[in-house]
Amino acid sequence: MFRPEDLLQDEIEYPEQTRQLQQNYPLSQADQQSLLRIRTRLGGQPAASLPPSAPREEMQTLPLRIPFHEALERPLVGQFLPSPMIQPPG
Amino acid sequence: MQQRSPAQGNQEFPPDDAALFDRYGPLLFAYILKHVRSREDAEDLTLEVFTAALQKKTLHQFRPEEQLAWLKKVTHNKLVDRYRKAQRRNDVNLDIFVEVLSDDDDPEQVVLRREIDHQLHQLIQRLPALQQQLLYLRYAHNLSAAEIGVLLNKNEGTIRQQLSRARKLLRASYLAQEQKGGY
Repeated sequence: MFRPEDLLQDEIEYPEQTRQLQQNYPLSQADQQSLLRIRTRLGGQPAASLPPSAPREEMQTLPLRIPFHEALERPLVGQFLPSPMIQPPG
Repeated sequence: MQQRSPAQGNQEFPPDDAALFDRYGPLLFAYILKHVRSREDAEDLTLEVFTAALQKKTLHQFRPEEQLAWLKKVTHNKLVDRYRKAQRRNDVNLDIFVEVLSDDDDPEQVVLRREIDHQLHQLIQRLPALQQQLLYLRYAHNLSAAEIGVLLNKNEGTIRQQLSRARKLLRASYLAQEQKGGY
């Protein structure tokens, strides 16, 4: 599962605990089916025909202020900067 | 965590893309599912994230933790974007401990494993939240310490230390239970 260089010393010394922990998190059937559906949809269409992800992710500049493992909260009013206005030529 | 690969052999789905999805799809889907109203929404949003990943041709040149950092950013931005559009949020509970048993298991083994899993589950739940999270990311999704560091905004060394500490605490809890005759 892990690359040898990724193993913790503790995992090397107690491989049985590692095995038990890995077995402790089985994927539910519902999740397996969801992932299968996503994978099929993802693989079933040529990249060119996939809907563009708008706006482009590279254009997003929102900082990741919310840790990945914590619940996201509804954005507060004024938390986000307004979209840049397009200036008329001239 | 290994998924069957329905798209294997499909020429539209290059092996690198399939590997990327198999590696991080379950994690990101679980995360998204926690934050949207329905499983269908979570599937759609996960598809959007990986569609963006497929369109970013240089992603495969990144190191794993850099790939995960990119996917994390895209996921986060899409969730925020969805909140902004929907202006409402309904929680969906995610039970990451749902047990899945294969049909060909020996019934006796099933009972034994269920009992062991239950004990372990209870002990894990007594750990501090951060340690539970570390164990989940490490052993449910087989992430490296560096990848977990990307998700939790900590450096790899810290993650390794905290993981080792969590494992030791878990063993100590298990031994304490045994000595008390609890298990």
